[in-house]
Amino acid sequence: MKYNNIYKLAALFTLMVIAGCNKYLDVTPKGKQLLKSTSDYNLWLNSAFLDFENDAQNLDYLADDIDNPTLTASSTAVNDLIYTWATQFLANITIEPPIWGDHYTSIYYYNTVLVGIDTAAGSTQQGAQLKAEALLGRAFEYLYLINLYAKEYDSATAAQDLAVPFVTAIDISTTTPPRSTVQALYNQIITDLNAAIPNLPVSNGTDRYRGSVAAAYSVLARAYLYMRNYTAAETSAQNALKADNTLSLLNYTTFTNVGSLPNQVTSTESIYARQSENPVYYPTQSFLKTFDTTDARLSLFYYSYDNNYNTVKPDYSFSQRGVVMFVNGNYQPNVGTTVAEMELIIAEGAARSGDLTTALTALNTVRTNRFPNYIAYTSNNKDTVLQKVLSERTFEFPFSAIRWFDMRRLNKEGRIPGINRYDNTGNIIATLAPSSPRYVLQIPLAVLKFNPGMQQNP
Amino acid sequence: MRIAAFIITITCLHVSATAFAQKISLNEKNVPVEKIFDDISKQTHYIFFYEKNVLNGTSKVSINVKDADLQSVLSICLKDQPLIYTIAGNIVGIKKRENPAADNGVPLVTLIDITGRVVDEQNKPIASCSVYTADRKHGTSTDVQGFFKLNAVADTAVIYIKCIGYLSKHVNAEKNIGDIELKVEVNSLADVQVKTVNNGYQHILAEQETGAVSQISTKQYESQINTDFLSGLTGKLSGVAINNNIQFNGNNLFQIRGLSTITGSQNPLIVLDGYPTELTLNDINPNEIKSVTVLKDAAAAAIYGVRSSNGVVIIERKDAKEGAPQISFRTTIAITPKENYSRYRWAPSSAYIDYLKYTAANSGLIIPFQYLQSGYPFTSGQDLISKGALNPSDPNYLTQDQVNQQLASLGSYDNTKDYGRLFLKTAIAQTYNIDVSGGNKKASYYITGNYSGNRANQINNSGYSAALSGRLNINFTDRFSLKLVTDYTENITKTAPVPDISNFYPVEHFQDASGNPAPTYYNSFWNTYANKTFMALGYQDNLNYPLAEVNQENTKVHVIDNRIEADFNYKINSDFNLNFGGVYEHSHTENRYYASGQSAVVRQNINFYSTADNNGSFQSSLIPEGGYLQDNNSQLSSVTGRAQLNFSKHIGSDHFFSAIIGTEIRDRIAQGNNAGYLGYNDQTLIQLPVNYALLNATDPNYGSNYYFYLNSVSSKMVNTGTLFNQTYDEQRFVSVYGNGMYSFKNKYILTGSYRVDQSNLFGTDPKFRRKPLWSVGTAWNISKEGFMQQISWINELKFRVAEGYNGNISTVSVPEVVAISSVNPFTSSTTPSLVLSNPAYGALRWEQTYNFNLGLDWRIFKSISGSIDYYNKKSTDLIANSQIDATRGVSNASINAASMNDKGLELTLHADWITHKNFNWNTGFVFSHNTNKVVSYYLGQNFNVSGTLTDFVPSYVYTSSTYVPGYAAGAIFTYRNAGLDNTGLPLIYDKKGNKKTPASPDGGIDDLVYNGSSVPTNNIGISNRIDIGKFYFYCMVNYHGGFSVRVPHPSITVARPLKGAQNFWKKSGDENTTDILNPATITSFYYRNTIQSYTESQVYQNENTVSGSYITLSTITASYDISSLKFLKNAGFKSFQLLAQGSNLYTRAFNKYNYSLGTGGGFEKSYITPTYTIGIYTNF
Repeated sequence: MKYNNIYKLAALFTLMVIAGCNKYLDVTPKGKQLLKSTSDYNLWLNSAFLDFENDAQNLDYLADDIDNPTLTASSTAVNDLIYTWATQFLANITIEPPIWGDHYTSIYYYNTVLVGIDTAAGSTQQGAQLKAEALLGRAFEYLYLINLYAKEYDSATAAQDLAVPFVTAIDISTTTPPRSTVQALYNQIITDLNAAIPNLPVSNGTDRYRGSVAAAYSVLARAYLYMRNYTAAETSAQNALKADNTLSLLNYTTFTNVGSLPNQVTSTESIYARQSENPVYYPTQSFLKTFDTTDARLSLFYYSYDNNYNTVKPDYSFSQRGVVMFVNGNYQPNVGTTVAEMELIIAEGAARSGDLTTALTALNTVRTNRFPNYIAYTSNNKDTVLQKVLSERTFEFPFSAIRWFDMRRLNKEGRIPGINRYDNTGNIIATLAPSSPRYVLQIPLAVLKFNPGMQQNP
Repeated sequence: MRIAAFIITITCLHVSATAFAQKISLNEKNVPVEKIFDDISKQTHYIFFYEKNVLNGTSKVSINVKDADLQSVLSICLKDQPLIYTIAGNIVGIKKRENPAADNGVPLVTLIDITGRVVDEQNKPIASCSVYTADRKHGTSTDVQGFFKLNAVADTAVIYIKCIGYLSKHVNAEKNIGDIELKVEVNSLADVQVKTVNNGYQHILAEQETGAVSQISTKQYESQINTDFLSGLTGKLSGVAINNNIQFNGNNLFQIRGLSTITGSQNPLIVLDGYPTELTLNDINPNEIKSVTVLKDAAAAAIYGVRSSNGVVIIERKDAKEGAPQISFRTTIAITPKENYSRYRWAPSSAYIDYLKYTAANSGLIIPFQYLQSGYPFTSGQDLISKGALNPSDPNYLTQDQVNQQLASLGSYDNTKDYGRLFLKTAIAQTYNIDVSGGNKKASYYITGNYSGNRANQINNSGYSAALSGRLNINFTDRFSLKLVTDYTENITKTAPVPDISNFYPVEHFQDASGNPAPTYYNSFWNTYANKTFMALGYQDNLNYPLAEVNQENTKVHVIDNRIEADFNYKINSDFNLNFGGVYEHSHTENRYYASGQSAVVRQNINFYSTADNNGSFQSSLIPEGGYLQDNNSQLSSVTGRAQLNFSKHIGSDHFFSAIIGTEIRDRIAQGNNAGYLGYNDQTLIQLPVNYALLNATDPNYGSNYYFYLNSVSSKMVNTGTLFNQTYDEQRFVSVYGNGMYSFKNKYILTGSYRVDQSNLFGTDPKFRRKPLWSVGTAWNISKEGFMQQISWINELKFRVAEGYNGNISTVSVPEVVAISSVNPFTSSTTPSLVLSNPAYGALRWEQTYNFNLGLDWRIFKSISGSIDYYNKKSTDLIANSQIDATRGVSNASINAASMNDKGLELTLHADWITHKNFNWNTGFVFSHNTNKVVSYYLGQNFNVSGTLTDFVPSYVYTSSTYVPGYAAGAIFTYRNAGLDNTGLPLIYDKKGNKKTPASPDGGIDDLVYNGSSVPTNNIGISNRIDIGKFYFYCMVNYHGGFSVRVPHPSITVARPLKGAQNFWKKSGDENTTDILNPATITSFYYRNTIQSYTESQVYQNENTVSGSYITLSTITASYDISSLKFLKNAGFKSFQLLAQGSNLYTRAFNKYNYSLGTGGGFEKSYITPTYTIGIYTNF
């Protein structure tokens, strides 16, 4: 045989092996649960992880209504560093950074749906709905991130202000995109929410953690509120309430204790539900003192050491730091969107545009469900009504992870005075001045380690 | 794929058939010579070379031949022409006849190509023989099949054939000499010279090997009696660490050149008869080893691609021998005596009594008697103490004298003797092995059968295995042959739960006064008082009676392994041959655990899953009465198909090329299924109905509505995963490989190999999909240089250097998002959900190891040979949990990010000191040194940014299989012991030498001392064999060093305390004389949470960590061949060998405690338990 022939044969052989092997190697691994069908993705979106707003507690530690009566100046605990608005919350750059990490994990869940749902087996209708839910969920997560790590929205600078990386890939070996701009990311959030609405179910009454048209409008309302586009926020909030006729406010005066409140998963008050962990919060004395003592929210959610861990009722003096706790107990407060939040967005939007009738109607709708024998509040002063609405927000959503976002946008209007933090002996150990750069969180060092080119916030 | 291979094969066969029609047919009349040349060229592949004017003056030619060969055609047409011809390869050169003398009738020297084969007396080919002409102008050496070829040699030449170990021979030159038989040189040890290296794909001449290879032959392997395959290798191959007394990652040590993976398999690849095997090493019959070759570096092993980083062990088994049937029969019996507990380093029984008294004297540590009555588990005698503390009016009250008296009688007993008598026996292992071999040149066979029975030291523990293997070699034609191998192995082991003696307090009895089984504290969970109370309420007896339990529980493991290998070889021509074939393996394992209805396991589970009525009486249990069967089946099947083209060619006498190119496909499927049967009757085979839904939903707290201690069972039967379970894993591989070698004058050798592996485990990133692994190597046979010929004492000297990449497989990561099933409890009713398990990792790729090796091989003074190797292995892209950018969605994932480094030095020596006909003495010596260092590895939460630890006691302090960057894998870290404080609590020194409590926030790794590796870094094996006539004596000594061991710190609170534990801290001031902590600090059940740091700082302390180096006298073997006895000769025995062997005879550790891991026990075992074996090896 001529050697040439042998070489040709060998080459042919090799070619055939290589050509044949791709098919041979293309087997779906058994024993591993991969996401292949729309029902897989449905179970995926039912993950308990997505029902949590894991950082709610951390965000609450940034707010002005929380006290930390046992704080020592030298503490390096994550909560304490957040509480004192430290530049970084975790010195260890080898573990998951607080706040940032959890949001991106949720985003990973939603991106997994968005990447794979189009090729998944199963009903196209279910596929479209799951895709819409994922768009909604991801927009909600980015709304948190943009309001933590980017400057407050300002139409003049938004196109230059840096937000967070907008990640869409699920392959962890791909490179992280650079920080998006505030304008681009808000545009994305609004585009995604609008794209989601047509395919979302009308009601999520059996599982408020999942998406619905109302849920998308409610997130849109929040987004516009944080952009200080109050008209659009008001319209979106109205759309949210109109979209699902199973939604209504609960009358707190009819509940004797917090445990009897309905679970948020089916509560008529929840629009897009998220749980928080169950920490114990110590509200500041000054915040407690702003309460009307007849407020049902005070008797339902606040407990006092002075009263042997019972409600604060016998004593409204709040004489000492740390005697009163905000305890979730066996009630999981919803830190997602609620009917009350939509009403108060409507109230705020209307008040700001001078439509006091609408504003007062919305405000009183909330308050009438919060006070026994409620007498409707009236005023014809635009600023007074607005102030009333804003303070109502502090009573309605304490320790719900959104006070910090209100502080940011109100600070922009000069409505937030400097805030002090006190250690356990009453010394001031931190101050958040109205002009402080600390209103924007720094990018965690653990993230910069992998993205050396990423610009840090001041 | 398979069709493709088939077509190729057919095409090859067809093409070669025509190509070999080299016969020439011509019928010409009066044509020019030129025309003849053209005709020949057309009919054959020969090409004619000549200058035009050479043909001037030639006469016309007439020729009529049919099917003639070239030489005869040429001699006809060049007859009487002034021309001569030479043939080199396919080139025919035509020249003017220079020597006019030829015209005058002087015989003409014709240049011919000579081929032949060198064989021994058994007609077996001899490789690597020197073949040269008398004038030494032409020379070559034989290949693996014994063939040689000398080109253009004068037909008058004399050819010399010379080979070490054989008598030299010379023959006259001839075109095809055929087989040349060499006789074995008397006094030579033919077996010792390993002349070829088998890499599983091909045989390479040893002098042409550029990689690091260790090899042992049958004689070295079989000098001792081996009861399992690995024990015969221990200490005989450099770079191979085998140690059953040292574990890493929970496996007995079996490593080649350290570690090169973290999450992949850390064991070497085993290649059996040319194909990788997935079967257990137990299947390899130690009586069948022909040779074992270990490939250690890239040049040797890169041809195994992604499975070769851990090294490759090539096992060649004995094969068919042509000739009359030869039968060999072997039998052995091995005896291992029971443990001698009197030599154990344990504290006496009285130490326990002293300890009880101490706790009694320290009020507050006494458990109130009513606690005991209600179920708090207590150890022997604790109830006496509690009774002594009662109010004297209590009917159970005992006076102090009564307490002391009863304690004294308790302490006068030590159960070690009874344990040995009741639970242990002498272990006996018997083996029988027979093999038959024979056949002729066309077909030969080898059939072997093996049986071994095995009775372990523990009662009710035994096993046996049976194996049958057949090997058939068929030569269909001279060119086409088949090798067929089938193996069947069956292995059964039966075990019963004989608890280790360390679980029992020394004062506990296993039998009551009348000889019935007695309950023990171990695995009882309820105390005897509570048990009585609960039994009265209708519950099952919850106590464990070890002596009864060994008959109520058993596990039977039944393994059946099959292996079929078929290998076809087609010799295309003298340069090419084609191999194709494959192997199929199937292994089935049934693991059958049965506990009868009377077993403690079942009784305790019935109690555990019971409900009580309002009075606390037993109501019902989710577990029915009756037996419990857990039947687990697993199967592993693998198929490998391979086609390979081999090429080897001498060009002239100086150049030799050889190459292989091949492709391999491989499919490996592992699957299993488990099933659990409750209320099962092994006689009727009937099981009772069970509410699995409720069982699965029920947390271990089910029974807690009555009493906390009801919860305690030794092993919970019901576990969703184990009752019923299916597993499946498939791995597919397609590989293309090539290996090439060029040698110039056998002095300078260049080798290279290349392999691409693809599998279904791959990532999506094209950058990594076709990542090749390769190697290059070069060798210089210095001894063949002219300037070395004067140095007569250097017989061989070769320098090697090689580098390249090997790979490894880890399957922990996949390129897709992997979810796991979970439930979402937050929806209005609990609903199923999927949660993230692994993120998608598209860059997934093979782990790779860069391998650099320098080596020197020598043979001096004819009989002292050896080699020395230095290597540096850098394993990168290792798959392990690593930190990633949290923006990606997770902050850590299993990715190709870790790395490790191994460096080492190896020395092998083999010396035949004396080689006399009736007296031989040889020594083998191997030394291996390996240091491992983890270069990068993610420690996760254990470390914070400043490099300090966040846990009080990081996990790597108490496990020895962890990876800490900058240190060896399996590094040992310890605390600096600072004695005790004045309350008997332990203290440690921080980095600056200040005393502090171990429970205070940790100073990080600075608080710890690094004590080196827990894996030996130096291993030495020395063997000596002396043959005197029919007698030989063999001895093997092993040394393991360069590592540390922890000597356990005596603690009085364990069931069986070590010697010295009784000297614990008792009162203030004792801290000056003892460092054994005040047991009150950890026996108090009031503060169990803080004790971890105390006890661990005691156990894991620098002072207790010593050098682990030890030496073992592994075997002494004596053999005597008595076949010369007349009656044996008459009975037909060709050899009749009697062997006696002692194994594990002596060990000595190089530390002050003489704590040697070679004893196979813990620190308490101060001696090694020998095994005595006798055997008979016969041939007839």
